Amino acid sequence: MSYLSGPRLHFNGFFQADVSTVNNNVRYYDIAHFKPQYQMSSSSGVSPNGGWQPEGTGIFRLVGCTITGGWLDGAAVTKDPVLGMALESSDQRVSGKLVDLDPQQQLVSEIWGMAVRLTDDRNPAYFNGQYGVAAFNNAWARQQDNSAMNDQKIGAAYQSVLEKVVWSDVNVSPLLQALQAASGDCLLSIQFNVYGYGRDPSSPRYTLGRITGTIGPASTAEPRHFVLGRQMMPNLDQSPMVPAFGVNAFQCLVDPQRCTVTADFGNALQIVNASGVLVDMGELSLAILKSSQVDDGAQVGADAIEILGQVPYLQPAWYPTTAGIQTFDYSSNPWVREHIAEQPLGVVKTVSTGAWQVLIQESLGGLYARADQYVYRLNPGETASMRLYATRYGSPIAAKLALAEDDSMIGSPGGPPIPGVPVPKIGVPLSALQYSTEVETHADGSPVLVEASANPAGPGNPRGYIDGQVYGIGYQLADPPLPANYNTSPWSFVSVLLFDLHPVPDKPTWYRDIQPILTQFGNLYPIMSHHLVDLGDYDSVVRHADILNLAFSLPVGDPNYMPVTRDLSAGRRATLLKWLNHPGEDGLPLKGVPLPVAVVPEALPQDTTAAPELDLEPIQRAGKTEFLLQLQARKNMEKGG
Amino acid sequence: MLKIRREFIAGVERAGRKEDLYQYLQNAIELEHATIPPYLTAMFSLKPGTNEEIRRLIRSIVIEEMLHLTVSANILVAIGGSPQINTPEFIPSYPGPLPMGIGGQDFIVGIEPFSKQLVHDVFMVIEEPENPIPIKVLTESAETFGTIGQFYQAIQKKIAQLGNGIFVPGSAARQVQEWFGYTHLFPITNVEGAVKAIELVVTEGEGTSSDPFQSPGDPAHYYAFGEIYHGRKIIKTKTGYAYGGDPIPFDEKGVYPMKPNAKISDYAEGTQARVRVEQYAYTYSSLLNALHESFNGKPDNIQVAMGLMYELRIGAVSLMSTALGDGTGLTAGPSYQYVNVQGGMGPAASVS
Repeated sequence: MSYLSGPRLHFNGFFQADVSTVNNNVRYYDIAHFKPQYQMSSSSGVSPNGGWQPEGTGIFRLVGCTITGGWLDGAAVTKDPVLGMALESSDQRVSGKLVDLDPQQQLVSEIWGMAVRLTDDRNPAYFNGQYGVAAFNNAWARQQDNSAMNDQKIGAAYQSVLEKVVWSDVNVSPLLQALQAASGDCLLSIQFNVYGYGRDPSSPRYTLGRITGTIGPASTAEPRHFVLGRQMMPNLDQSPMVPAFGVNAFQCLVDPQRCTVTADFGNALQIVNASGVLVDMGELSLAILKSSQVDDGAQVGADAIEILGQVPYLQPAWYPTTAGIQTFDYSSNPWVREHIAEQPLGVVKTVSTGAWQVLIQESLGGLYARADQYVYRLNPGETASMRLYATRYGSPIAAKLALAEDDSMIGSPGGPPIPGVPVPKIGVPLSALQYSTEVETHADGSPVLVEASANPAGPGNPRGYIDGQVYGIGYQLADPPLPANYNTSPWSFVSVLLFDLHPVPDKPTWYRDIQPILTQFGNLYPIMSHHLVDLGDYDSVVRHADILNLAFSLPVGDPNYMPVTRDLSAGRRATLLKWLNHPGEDGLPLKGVPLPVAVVPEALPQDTTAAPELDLEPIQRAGKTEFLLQLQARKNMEKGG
Repeated sequence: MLKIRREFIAGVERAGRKEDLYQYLQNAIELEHATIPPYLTAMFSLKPGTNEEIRRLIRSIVIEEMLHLTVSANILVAIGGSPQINTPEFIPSYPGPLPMGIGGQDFIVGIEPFSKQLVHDVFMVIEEPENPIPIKVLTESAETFGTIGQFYQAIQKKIAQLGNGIFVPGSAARQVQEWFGYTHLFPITNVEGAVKAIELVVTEGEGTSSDPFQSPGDPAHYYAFGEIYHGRKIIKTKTGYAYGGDPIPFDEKGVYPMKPNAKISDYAEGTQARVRVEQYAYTYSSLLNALHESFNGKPDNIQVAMGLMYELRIGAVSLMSTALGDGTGLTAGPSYQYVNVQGGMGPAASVS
């Protein structure tokens, strides 16, 4: 079960991602070379600077989201008390947070600590659940209008679950009753698309973006972050962000009992601008391709496809009220009933009478491999249990998967150069992260668990001024082999942040053990130092010892967890807590004596494949856009020689 | 001296059962809370990096108001009551009179940025002791009004009169105990504890009749506000006390020019100001929700409330640094309204 099966709710509104931008440039992690101007906004005119929002808080919350549509018993819901209710974040705790894995892996931003509840002025929560930590997926250059310079034109999708769901008073709504009845395990499936994110300080949308999504039933037996269904894979040969024929990856679920295909176009169709108006690409239909050997972009005739139905995406209310999910009924088509399980799906565009162009199609051969969770943080000696699946036309299969290091989508510095501060090389040493390079998946729909283990000694501080190391673990089908021209997803890899070993000193002191850790956070998150605690200052930190003690002791999923960025290793955390809780004779945490000079390790492995400098708009001088452009430049360079 | 309608004192005095005290302890909670939004706003309106000493003084007062709220709530819990914190009515309508007619219906408290005038005309009036030092003459009739101190003393006396039997065994586990230190916040299980706790509340607010300090170096609220207003610390002189110590500088430029006494509806939908004021009100409402839980069976939830207090502070900066752009030169100011949702962008379809 997932948001594509059974009863579902659609919502639409805004989100706020109050991200901070100083930490976008990996070089700013070097405390020995940090300058105050790196905390200044890009609008200050200073260069290099701290990006478009140095004082961001990391808050991620829903803003003005309402239930705009639903689906029940095979039909769209147009009259139900749930329509118009608000979908809100927690009203009991602080907001959730949006968290990058690392400055050298900014393409898996995760939402942590968010609660989601359905409410109106009569009931604080018809349901309330905890959002399972999830990173975005299938990011792409979705917004086509280039006139809004500071809009983030990349859109992406999030799929996860709501856990520990508590229901109340659902009998007011038939749709809610059905949703509760369909959901076991106190679990719901939630998917949403984010786009139209504003970075212009003069815009009402500053730090806000659009969100449209769907909530449906879920089960613990199924993946949390994708649907065991049919996977449409775009041709991304030009760029990992630009589908060759304008339609991005999406998933479908076939229900053979009801004879329906439910397709999620929510993150698949281009938008004109931030308002979410979809680009008119002509008449689009979901179809079954009668041959599995059609080229992307090829023109085909009526004999080559079976149309399942048009995608009504040009109706203005369609996207906000369905979140782009469309159910197609093929019960009256015997050919489809017979062949849908073994023939690829695709989106075709009507070119002329009797002629269509194939814009996107199902993964060739129906073959697909996928890791459910694809972001991990590991302390030395810890193990991540990756959950991998292989499917063929949506059905789980026993197959061999090959795993290997893959850093093609990670490693950019994320900002402009700083003299004397090298960009660390990522993914080394390889030996610090161990995993099986070949595994067999299960045909029964259960995942194969693949352990990725961090060396007990850690990676050995390969990045010098920044803790730990980032790794990419790529995976792909080895047997059955992939057909020629298979569109491999650039997102089929797992990102791992491996922390350095950090033994806890017997008697930690401020100068030797604590200041170097907290100064870096103070540099990168000026919202803290300017408004709460000056993390570089002993007196300030000691004055706030109680609240720091609390925040550093919380479980990592708690919305009050510190640091918000979840990038403090267990060893460093234990050091901090030991320091806070073992005061000296004066009753205060030990101060120690200042160190003579910070020691910078020499011969730091550098990324010699770093991209050449790019001519970017000022707003793009840090963060995801630059990160991506740097990746693209690196790829181009590699291609060129 | 700030007045309270005598009917509240008389009501306490008339109480025959512990249940009769519940409403008055709830009133005390509401009274202690009522000062927090005005004080917090004034504190938040001081720009980061400026007016540090003033901020520190107001902060210490706000924390004590939170302590007093906690003490009143704990006493209510100790005798079997249930504090009600998360309702729209719990928050006074600002600008407006304080709960229990405190200060009279003509004494209006608003939500305003910091100014010395505000400290003098409102905050010092709220905190003015029965007999300020140097002594002032009481001019108003004591017929219809009593003092806040008298109100608390009436509660003290009534608790003593009703005796230890009104305390619910085991209620200490339901009382909030963290964040204020054991000398100020301790489990209340009997008359002695309740009397001592109320004594602290009165002393921290007003000081004693002979000493402006509640403890060495820590003046009672009225005198701390006096220090801010006069711009100097209190020192002891040969004849008494004077605002003659170290200067407490005030930089007028270090205050956000925030819109006073704002309501959410004052801001147009689809603006940054509207989104941020809604967020602030939502965070404040969430804080009240968290406190309500803390005082109704989940005392450890105070940790969650602490997180919300920090989020509120950050939200205030974001709010108060948002220019309204309406020609007034003002920035957005907070609204303390109890809300269940946060929006501000208007119907989603209408904003590009």
